Amino acid sequence: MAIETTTDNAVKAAPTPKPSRRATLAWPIARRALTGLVTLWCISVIVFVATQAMPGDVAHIILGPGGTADQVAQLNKNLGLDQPLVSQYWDWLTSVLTGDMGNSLVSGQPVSELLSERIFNSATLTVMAMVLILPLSLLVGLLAAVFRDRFLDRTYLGTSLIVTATPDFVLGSLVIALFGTVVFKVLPPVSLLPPGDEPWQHPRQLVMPLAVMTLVGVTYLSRLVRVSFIDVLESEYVQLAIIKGLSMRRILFRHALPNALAPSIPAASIMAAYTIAGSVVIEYLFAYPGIGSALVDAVAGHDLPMIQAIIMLMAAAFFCFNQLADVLGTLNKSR
Amino acid sequence: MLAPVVVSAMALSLAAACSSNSSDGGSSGSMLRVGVVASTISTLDAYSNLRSQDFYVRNATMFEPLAHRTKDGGFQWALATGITHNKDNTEWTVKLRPNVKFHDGSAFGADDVIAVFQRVLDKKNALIERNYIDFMDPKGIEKVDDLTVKFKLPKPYGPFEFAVTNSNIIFYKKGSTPEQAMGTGPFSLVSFTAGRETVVKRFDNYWGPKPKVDKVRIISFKTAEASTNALIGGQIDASSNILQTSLPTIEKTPGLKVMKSDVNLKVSIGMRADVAPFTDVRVRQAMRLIVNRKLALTNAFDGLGEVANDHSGFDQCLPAVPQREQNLPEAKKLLAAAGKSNLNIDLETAANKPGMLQLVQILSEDAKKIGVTINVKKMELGAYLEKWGKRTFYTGYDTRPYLEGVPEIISKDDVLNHTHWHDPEFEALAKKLYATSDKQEQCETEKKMKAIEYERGASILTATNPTVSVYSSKVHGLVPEFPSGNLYDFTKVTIS
Repeated sequence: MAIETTTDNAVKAAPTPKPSRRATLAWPIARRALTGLVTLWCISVIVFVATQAMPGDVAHIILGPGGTADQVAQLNKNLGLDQPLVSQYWDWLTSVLTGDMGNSLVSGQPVSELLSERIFNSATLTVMAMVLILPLSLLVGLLAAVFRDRFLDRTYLGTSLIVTATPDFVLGSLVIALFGTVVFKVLPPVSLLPPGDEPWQHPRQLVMPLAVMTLVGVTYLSRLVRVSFIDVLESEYVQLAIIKGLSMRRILFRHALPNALAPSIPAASIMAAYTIAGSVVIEYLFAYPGIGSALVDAVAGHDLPMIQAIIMLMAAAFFCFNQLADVLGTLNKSR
Repeated sequence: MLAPVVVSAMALSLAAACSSNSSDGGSSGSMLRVGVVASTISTLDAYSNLRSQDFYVRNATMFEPLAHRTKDGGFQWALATGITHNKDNTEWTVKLRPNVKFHDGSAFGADDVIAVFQRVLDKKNALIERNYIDFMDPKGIEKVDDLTVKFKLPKPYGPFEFAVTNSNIIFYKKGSTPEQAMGTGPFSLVSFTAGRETVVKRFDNYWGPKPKVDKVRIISFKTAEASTNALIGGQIDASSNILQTSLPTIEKTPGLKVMKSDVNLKVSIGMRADVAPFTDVRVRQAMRLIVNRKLALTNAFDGLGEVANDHSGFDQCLPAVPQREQNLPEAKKLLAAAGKSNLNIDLETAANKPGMLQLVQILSEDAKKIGVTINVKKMELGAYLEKWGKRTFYTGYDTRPYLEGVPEIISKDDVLNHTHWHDPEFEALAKKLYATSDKQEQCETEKKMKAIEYERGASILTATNPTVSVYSSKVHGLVPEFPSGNLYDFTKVTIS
């Protein structure tokens, strides 16, 4: 078939300039950042509406049953709670956009002041937990896959099922009773960190909360790693490697590990996000001075600025880890 | 490759952690570590409306009232040295203690006292303490000299001394900021971290006996469970906020001692007297006869305390009435006479005191035996308080001495008089009670009022409970404060 060449076609056929890599990445990143901001705004509205829907008000909670109607009204006025809801939300939003998270309704102190050290403490606990969870999950998952259907694997599967099915609160209480208060009494049952100190200056205080977080994380993530490893170990190229007489160590770490890790990495990012959310229970149980325990108090006191600040922080972290999981998943697919 | 490294690192860090004892939250030495259950968002203000336990303990170490009330009904003078009055109890004069210094070395005096009373009485501040002294006119408070304050009252008020010596009416330096916590108490502020801890040190210029410990560290916990665990784990030396159900474990723990105060808490079940079915006194009396008080004491309150007899107040000026016992046939008869044999009613509770939920469940179970259905509804505290004063059948609690509680019982305000019970004879006696400053006369009047509460009141009061504190056997000199029973006074404490 003859090809008719025209000026138009020539123009069409001319090579278009290739967009730079930076320009290619800029739009997806901007789109994700925008999605993140819109998500956070939606969450702030939901939290605001949910807090308003909660029965009871701050003034009643602060004053208790002895607070008379005029005292309640005066306190509501002092706290600015007599303003229309839209006005209250707008005031909060405009303050946040200028970097001011507002003041606690109950104590009147700046939210940033009340939370700064707690944010650091919570981040430290979460990072330390993830540093333990990731390698341990890999190790446990790998061993379970290698010894598949044998005693070690079955014991692991049974144990992990029990741990996964047990609520964190119950698990933590058992650990406290076992190592802190009733049986052995070898570890402090409560994480008392003196204000101003870094958490790692007090390793004994961290052992029990970290142990529970690690146990919960490892039993979940290692099951995914185990399945990935089993898939890879059953693949043709691994079978070929075995037939060719390659050592097990070489097969596992050179050939199986990179392929088994790929699907587990996005799961690890999701795990990190869940660890942040799960730290609320752990912090409350061990009286660890982080944002999780502060959130429990803020909800009990209907302290909206505190609730908003903590939820926003958690949501932002959750969003970032989810985005990371997406990116890693996309990269894995492209590989 | 990675696994052995990780396992070794973990083992090393765990071993290091377990071998280190220096970071359990500070050593005892001359530092007393006291555990309290507290909100994250507490403040240093002596008159904050936040009333978690850290507020009370902190205030008791750094600030003082005019006098401390004593068990025998008298006073132990603190910032005052005496109170006098005119014949008709309309003019009261408070003499202040000389040579009392604030923590910054400045002198305490009449200006500071007046500033505090003016702040409490100012309605704009919405302070609960106003309820105790709202018989005063802010304009009637005058400075006579640096150590004398005169109170001119709009009408006679007999128990003036009792009212102004409320342990929550404490004094700070006029013009000081809440963050300075500028009091006259035996300890001065070292550091405060909201929701975490307060550290106070001995105030060497204290006017009274100086504390023996150098410092007190008041550590805040979110729950009584955490406080109890910290005590068993040796992380704190003493606490009044312990989990009562853990007492058997605590009693078996070597190195821990249990201290029970005098009874000071009554968990109550309120019956709104202006709403059916409780408008009929026979229904109210029937409810009081249904509950098994002995069972309530042992099962709901862990056997701590004494059986109560449906009148408020504690161990003083008791009326000559028999102890009410469970009597189901009589209760059934009373309900039948009132036409409420098959009563079906909701009982709402926030279960915000130990034993409260179990108490209402016991009442509900006992009621079933005579065909009465009581539906227990447990509510979240915020929701519960929102309709406080408007509930028909509900739970509450009372820790106040009788003289402090009566103004609320006779109040016209729904929130204060939440049972809406108005008895003309009781209210006439209340007027008499507050018009006299004669203690004997007050006591006789109280007996008559309590007898009326017993006969036709609107609260079921089944037991009075003490405050239970637990402390390390290394700590000596702790005493439960009167009337709260909590550990507030650390001036006599030594640590061996």
